[in-house]
Parts: sequence; C-alpha cells; structure tokens
Amino acid sequence: MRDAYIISGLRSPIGKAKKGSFRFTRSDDLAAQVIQKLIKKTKGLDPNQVDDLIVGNAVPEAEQGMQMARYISLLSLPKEVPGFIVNRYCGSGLEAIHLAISKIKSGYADCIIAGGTESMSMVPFLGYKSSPNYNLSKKSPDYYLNMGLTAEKLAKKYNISREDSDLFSYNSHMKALRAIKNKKFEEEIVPINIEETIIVDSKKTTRKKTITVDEGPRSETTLEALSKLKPVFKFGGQVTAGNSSQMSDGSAFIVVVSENFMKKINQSPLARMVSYSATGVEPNIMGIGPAKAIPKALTMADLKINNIDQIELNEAFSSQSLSVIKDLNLNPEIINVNGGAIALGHPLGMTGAKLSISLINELIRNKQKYGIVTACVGGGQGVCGIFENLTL
Amino acid sequence: MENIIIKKVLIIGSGVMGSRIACYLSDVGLSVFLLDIIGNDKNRNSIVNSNLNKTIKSRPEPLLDKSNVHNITTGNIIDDINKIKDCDWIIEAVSEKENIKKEVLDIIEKNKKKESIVSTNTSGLSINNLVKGRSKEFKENFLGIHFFNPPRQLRLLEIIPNKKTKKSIIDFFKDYCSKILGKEVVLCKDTPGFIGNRVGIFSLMNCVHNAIKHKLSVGEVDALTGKLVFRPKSATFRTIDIIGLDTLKNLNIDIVERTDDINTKVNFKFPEALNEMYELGSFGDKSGKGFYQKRIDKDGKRKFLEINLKDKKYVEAKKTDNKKIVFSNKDPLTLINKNKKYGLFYQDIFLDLFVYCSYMIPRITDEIYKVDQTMKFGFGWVYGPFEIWDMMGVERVCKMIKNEKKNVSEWVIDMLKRNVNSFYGIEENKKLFYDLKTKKHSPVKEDVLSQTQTSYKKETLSYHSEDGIAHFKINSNLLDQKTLTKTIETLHGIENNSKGLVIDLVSDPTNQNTHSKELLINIKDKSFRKVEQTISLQQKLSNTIKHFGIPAVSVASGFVVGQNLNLLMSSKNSCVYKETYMGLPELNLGIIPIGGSSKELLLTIDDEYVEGDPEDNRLTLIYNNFALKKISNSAVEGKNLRFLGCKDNYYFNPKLLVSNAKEKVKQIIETGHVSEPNNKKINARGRYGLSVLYTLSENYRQAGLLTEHDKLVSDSYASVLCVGDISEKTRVDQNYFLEHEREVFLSLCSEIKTIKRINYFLNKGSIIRN
Repeated sequence: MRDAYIISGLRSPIGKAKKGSFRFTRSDDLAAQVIQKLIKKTKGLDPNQVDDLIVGNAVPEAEQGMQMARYISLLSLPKEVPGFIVNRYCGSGLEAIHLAISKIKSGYADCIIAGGTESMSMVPFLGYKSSPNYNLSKKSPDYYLNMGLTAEKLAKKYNISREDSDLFSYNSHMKALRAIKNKKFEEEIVPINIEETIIVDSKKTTRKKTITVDEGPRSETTLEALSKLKPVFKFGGQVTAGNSSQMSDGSAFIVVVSENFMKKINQSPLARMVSYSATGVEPNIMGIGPAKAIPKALTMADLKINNIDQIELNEAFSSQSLSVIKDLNLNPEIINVNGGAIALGHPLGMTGAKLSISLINELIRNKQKYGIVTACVGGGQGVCGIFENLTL
Repeated sequence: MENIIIKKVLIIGSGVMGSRIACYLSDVGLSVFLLDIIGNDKNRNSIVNSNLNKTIKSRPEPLLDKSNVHNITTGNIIDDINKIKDCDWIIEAVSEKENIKKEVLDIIEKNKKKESIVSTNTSGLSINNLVKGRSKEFKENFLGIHFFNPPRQLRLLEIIPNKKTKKSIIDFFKDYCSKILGKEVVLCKDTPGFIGNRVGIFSLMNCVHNAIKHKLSVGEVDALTGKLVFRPKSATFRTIDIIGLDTLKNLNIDIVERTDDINTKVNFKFPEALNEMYELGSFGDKSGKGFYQKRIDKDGKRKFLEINLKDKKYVEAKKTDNKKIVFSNKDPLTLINKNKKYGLFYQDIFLDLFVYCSYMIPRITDEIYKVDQTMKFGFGWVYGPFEIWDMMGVERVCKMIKNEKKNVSEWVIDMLKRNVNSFYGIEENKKLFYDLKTKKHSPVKEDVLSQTQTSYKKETLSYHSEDGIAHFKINSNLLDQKTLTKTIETLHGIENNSKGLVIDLVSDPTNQNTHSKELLINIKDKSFRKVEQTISLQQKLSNTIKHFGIPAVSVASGFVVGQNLNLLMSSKNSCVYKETYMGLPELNLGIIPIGGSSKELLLTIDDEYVEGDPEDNRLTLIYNNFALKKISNSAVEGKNLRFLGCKDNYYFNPKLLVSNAKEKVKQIIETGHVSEPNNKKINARGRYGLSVLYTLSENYRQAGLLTEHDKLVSDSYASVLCVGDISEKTRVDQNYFLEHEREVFLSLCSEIKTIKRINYFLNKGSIIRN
C-alpha cells in the first residue's frame, strides 16, 4: 500500500463556550476561515485539486446540521470540492484524519483536507431532542450515564483522590500558560477575524476583532481555589468544574496528500500516521477508552510504549486522565507537555485534529520521532493515533 | 380630582432595607431606580451594585421571581439623579442619621417633579422634624412609609403622615399599600418608634432585663419566649441577633431621646451586659457573632454556641425541656401560676408588657387593635398584647398587677368600672374593640380585620352563600372515604342550588400530609380494594370540580400538596396568595401523586406544544417536579413549574383572595359559563417518553439524588406521565389515563419498601429514605 503524508495543519484559537469570543460565531464560518488560511499556507496547493473535505463534528444538528461539511466546502473551497461529516463524538477529529489517510493510502484520493470543528456555544452537546433507546433505558440505563458520573466511577475504581485531580488540573493550566508565554502555539494558530453587529447603548454598531490566543488557561488558578469548588455531578463526589474539561468553540484542519501529489507541488512531509485504533469499553466508565486503544495501536504499529516520545491524552476529566495513566503506567512527563483540555478547552469535534497538530509540532520542535494522540469517547470508546515525525 | 398613578419609583439608599424594598416593588411590577453614593472612580456604581447583589443572594429570598431583578436599574446620586424627574414615588432609605436624611431630602426636593410623592422609611425619626423648614408643597407630598424587615415576609407597613400631608395622598397609599403591595397597613402618629418598634422593642428589651433579673440563660429565655407563647421561633435573643445590636442601640437612643415617658426610658436603656457586647463588636448575624455564634470545631463539626451574659464567653447551647412547662390554651395564666421555675419570669414579662401597652394608649395610638396588629404583622406574634390580656382575663390580671404594686393606666380601670370586661368582642360576626373615645365597644374598621385563626373544622362540610355564590372551605388532604363521598355529594348540591362556587383550600401550615391516615393504614394493611376505592374517589372529586356545571374558582395559600393541589389544578381558575408553595412530596412515602395533578400537568404542557417542538423538554420539567421533590418557593415559581396556568392569578394581599375569587365567579356568571368537556385526549408519549425518563432517573440515582427505591417509584411516575409503554404515537381518553394511574398506584402499594416507609411514617411521623 502507498503512504499518505501530512504536509500542513492549522487551527483557530480555542474560545470559551457561551462566554468567549466565538460564542456568536458559527462553527462552519470558523472552519472556513481556518481552511482558507491553510490553503494559503500550503505553498503550491491549488484548491481545485482538493479531492474531498472531511469534517469531524460531535453534534451535527441545528447550526451544525444539514451535512455542514458541504457548506464548509462551499464557503472555503471551489464548488467542485465536496465534503462530509464524521461523528465519533470526542474522537471525530482524529477519525476524520484517519479516514483521509486511509482513502489516500488505498488510492481513492490524492489530496484531502481533514479535521474538525465545533461550536458548543451554539449547539447543546446533548442536542435538542433526547431520545434514548427504550430497551436499553430499561435494561441498561447506565449506557446513557452522563460523562461526569463516568469520571466519578473511574475515580473510585482507580483510587484517584480529589487532591490528585485538582493538582492535575492545576498543572494543565500552568503548562498551557507557559506554552502560550513561550509562543509555542503561534505557528499553528490562525488569527480569526470576527465581525459583530451588536447593540451598544441602544445603537446598532459593527465592530471587528481578531482573536489570536486560546481563552481557556487561567493565570489566577490556585490549588486552594480549585479545592474549594463543589462537586457538580454527584453528592460527595470529586469531579468539579475546575477538574473537568472546559466547553469550547474551535476548528482545526490538516492537509493530507499522496507521495506523487506531494512531489508535484514540491512539498515535504511533516508526519505520517503509523497506526490507528478504535476500541469499545464499558459505557459507564467510558474514560478508560485510551487505556484499551493505546495498546491496540502500539501492537499494530509494532512499537512499544517506550518508543513513544510525546503523548497528547485528551483531558476529559482529571480523574479520567489519571485513571488511564495509572492503568498503563504511563510516564506523566511526556503527557500533554503544553497543557490539555482542562486548561485549553475541548471543542468536541475539533479536539482530535487539534491534538494531532499540536503533537506533530512538538515532535518537530524537540526533534523526536513518535507521538500518540488519544481520547476517550462518550458511549464507551477509545481512539488512538500514532504519528511519526518525518522531518528528522 | 387627579389620579395618583405610580409607574416608576426611585429609591435612594441601597442598604438592607433600600435594596429589599427595591426587590419587593419590582415583584409588584414597578420600574425601580435604586441609587446610592458613588463607589469609586473606576466603578461609580460599585456600592449600589454590590449591595443589590448581596441582597438578591440572601436568605430568605427577597424576590418572588428572580427575573424581576431586571425591573431594577441601579445608579448613583451624582450621575443618575436626573432620573428622579421621571419618578412618581421617591423613597428615602438611607441610614438612620437625621443629618444624612435631611441632606438626601435636600437633593430630592431640588430635583423632583412637582406632583411626585416622597416617603421616608425611617424606623424612628420624627416625620415632622424631617420636613421642618421645607416648602408647603413638599410637606403636603411627604409622609413616612415604614416597611418592616424582611419586606417579603413581614406584612406590616406603618404610614405616618406629617401635619401637612394631603389627605388624598394618605388615602391613596392606604389603599395602594393594602391592595397592590398586599401590606397590613397601620396609620400611626408621629411618635418615637411609631407603634411596631415602640411596643416590639419594648418587649425584647423587657425580656432581656428580666433574663438578667431572673438569672436565666440566653437559650432558656429563647425557649420560653418563642413558639411556646405563640411568638416566632427567633423569640428574643435570636431576634436581636437578626436585627443587629448596633441597629437596636441606635433605635433605642433615638426613642429614649425623643420621649418623656419614664417607662420607655427605663426599659429601652441598654443593660451593662449588652453595652459590653456592643463594645466588643458582637452585633449579631452581621458581625458573625452576637448572642449566638456558629463555630466549626477542629473535627469539622458545626457547633451552635450561646453567650454567657455574665462573662461574655461562648458556651454550648443547652436544651431547655419545653414539655416541662405547663401551659393550657384554655387558661393561659397557668404559665404564671403553675410553673415553679419560670412562673415569676413569665409574670414579669407579661405584666410589664400589659402595663406598658396600657400607657401607650392614647400616646402612640388611639386604637388598641393597632398595637396587636403591629405585633402580629411586624413581629410575627400569633396574638397581640391586648388579645393575650383578654385571654388571661383582664380583671384577673389587673388584680395581679395591683398585688405587684404596679399600676395600669387609668382607662383600663375605668373600662372595668363600666362593666366592660374585655378589650375585644364580637357582634354579628363583626369584631369589636374598646374605643377610648366612646368608652364602649365599637366595630373594628373593615380594612383592619384581625387575623385570628379562622375556625375550620374538618368534620363539617358546611358552606355559606352570598349572592348565590357558595363559599366552601375544605382541607381535602385528610378526607377519609366517607367524607370524600359526602364532599362530592355536597358539591353536587351546590351545583344544583347555587350560581357559583368559591372553593377555599385550607391547609395546615405545620402538616404537609398528602393523604388521610385511613388510606395510609389501608396501604400498610394491604387492603387493596379499600385503597382503590379511596383513590377513585379522589379522582372523582377532582373531576367534579373540573367539570363543574357552574363557575368554580379556587383559593389557596401556603403549602398546597396532595388532594388540595389536585383540586387547585382541576379548577383551572384560582386566586392564590403570592406565598403559595406547591409540590409533589409523595416520593417520600414511596407512592405517586394521584387524583388529578398528573393529568392536569400533562394537559397544560400539551396546550403549549407547537408542531416541531421536541417533546422531552416539558415532559422532563414536570417529571422533575416529582423526582427532585420540588416545592415552588412562590406562586410565580408555581407557574414556571406548570402547577398554575394562565387563568390562575396570584395576589399580594391574602385577605383579598376570597373577595377576588367571588369577583371572578361573578364575571364568569355574567359572561356565561360552559363546563369543561371531558373529551380532551391526553398525549401518550409511551416509550418515547419512558426512554428519556428511565435514563434520567438512573443518572439521578448514580448522582446520589435518588435511592434505588426512589428510582423505582419515579419510574412508576414516569409510566403515569407517559401512559405506559405504548410504542405508537397516540392520544388516549381521560378515563383510560385515570385507570392506568390507579393501576400504577396500586402496584406500588405492594412494594415492600413503600409499605415500610408508610409504616414508619404512621408510627414516628417522619420519613425514611430506604
């Protein structure tokens, strides 16, 4: 089988849902801006030659409905470029990338733009209509257990204390703030232009803003403040707003090409996907997903965990991430070195793509070879992609 | 004569009272501007905003409906004083310092529009003094309107005109404050402390002095002067903690300075112990410690401490055994005569109170009933001083007073000489009071009817009619089978003989029982047939009201649960007090609500449905009322929870409920009444609804909100709401719904854990959550 190469990637800053800069920005408009900049950045790439657009999105209804990938391609690419939505909840972004790579590897396309976009401000994450399966609701209603309660279960199972979770959360913020200070995300972030028509003092005005920084990380975070927060999902529990991922808005895309295409446009590869796995786990402890997906992907790649230089483990909840780390005995020093979803935010469909871009950039900066992007998925799944830095 | 219309109110002073008055008036529906002094350069409204935020978050909640905060616009007295030109009523509510109040009145006088009315919320300063030297026009439009704290919960409002206040304005506010603000209005003389504080604080201070005299502890005195003698639970020292020792001291100083009455001067003086506490800054709740203090000890346990009045150290509160105190309702003097330990204390506090009150007439008011009114509606007493004096026997008490070498005021002796042996009387259902002017019993004016316990006997199913409209009082929660049947018969009788019905739902505030003892015993004994008979009768009773042949309007206030709630909702037309708390607490007993509330909730949300709406939102809303045991904290929340609908109105004055209900009935008689048909079908959400509610209850269970058995019972309630596990989308007729509701109820009656809960409740009167 031929190979597929990631030659570029860009993302929007991550805005805080409901209160942040993107709260009135549609996720299709956000995606369109990222894709347009991505095309410009990728020298030699003629947008007419893009075969497809694959968009990860976790709640494809309302503003994200009507198969919005097609509308995103209409907004940002020539009419001839089609598009489709992929939904594996929090794993959608990674799944989109994996599908692009698979199509190219198997010869069905030469150039695909893949990634994810999400507006948690505009579309409630459980959607507008709740309709569980009747038989499941009777026999196994905990298949529909809310995410926070699954994190509580893991905390109990793996003996994660409240203090551990709060410390993990604190570190996420500190690492992210340091990364921002050291301009580590500057290369991968697309400044997003917002034009708002608003009413100020009873007058209609238009104002323009450019957003360049992730809004999640809080410099005023202290362990003391985190410890005072009340549990939000369970009486006497430990999962709080402070040690859960933030709800966010954002968009991220990469360009994946075949070797021929890459040579034709005179580009060089940044990375390739060595292996990818998706596995199912018990829905009521969905957070442990990565602990099953990682070994499966490693085996398929014929690699061991010691071969891995960097891990981007999506921080759905502190207790969830700590459970995965404990289960596989992972080295915390190489995990989320630039902060994670607790500080930076978790725009569901974007996350897999964002983590991939950040991981690849970190591997390149450190001249390291292998990295993992992994996430748990609501409903009881885990996804894992292993990437190889090709710039060495 | 021109109408006085109030649309916009400006309040200056956003402290404890100012911000609460703002909340109260915004609930009424007025636009309120709340101003205070400048905060700082960066944020000029920082003081008013932080004060208002603090108030909104405080307990007890000042707002009926939190969204009404949008009726309040905050500002400061420099940038926003021009708003005063738009305002019809301006309230001065700044600190109780004469010079500051006068400064504020200067600003108001300079900026207000001609016709607007200015009032002060002062609790003790002279109204006449505040307007000394001001223009005639200002004086004519100025009066004291004194709210009590907290305004949402205490209904007393004192109106104090100055010598020049226009009569039309006094009359307007008497009516407005009673009807629209729902207050118990008392017109007062401009004397120190007016009436409420003059008597109420006397009583507090007198209890303090006697506590010291009789060497009783803080906790003991509160146990003796609380619920036991029909005063609020906060009794004496806890009440002072709430008021604040500093506020009390300032009030006392003001009153003592302005009066020449020796009794007042002596009693209002702070004893040494209180002065020492004041110096230490132990003001009460506002400073974290007063007569009581909450502490968390090393083990994280909460401790409630009380102060030792001698050494000012805080010790653990001791429990006083109330049961040992002898008190007979029929002869209240037993408090004094039959209690060895506390008899003398009671003798002192009651005799001192009576003597003092006698000397307050006609000094602070000509009408004795105003003293009782203010104590009841401003201090939460069940009976006022003159009422208690009557209960103990005026002559007997006067003899005791003489024995103690104290003197009552001459008019009381004179009254007894004229063979008038009590302060109050009743003639032709009208309440009479001893009028010092005529020296005999005169009728109490209509708008100041005293709030004695309305006589309601659950055994009688009698009603009286006026203008063909029946007024039927009933507590339907505790009716056994026989009485349920009789009630239905009586209602049919009314349907045949009257033009309309006001159904007055009486609830016992101490008893939130949702079912009769008979029903609970039948469940415990597994007498399923008897249970079925009772619940069928409950459904039938609700339907009788729902499909009544003549107009029927219900009246309710306080806690409305169980069959009372069924009837309230079935009438679909009601007049309720703003403080009406509706809910479905049946989960506690392991059973579901039955008789009509579920049907009406479903019909209400069905009416709201618009094609394309996702159906689970409203279904979940009404389900949560049960699963999360929500009790509405006001009539407004009752509407949000769908217990009340568009034809249900709430009012601020509980005394107007019945008359308003009668007006509603009359209106419907006038325009014509068509009975509610029973062919409206109910949307059966079946499996579509059940899937949502079953997964929701599992999430609640895992979150610790429901026990295993709670989930089982909640799932049964879900089955009622969704009308079973039907797989088609359909509508069912009401009889099918009611039959299904009975089936589900009966199936729960055979659950062991439900029977256990009911048994426990029957034996111990409390709930277990198994």
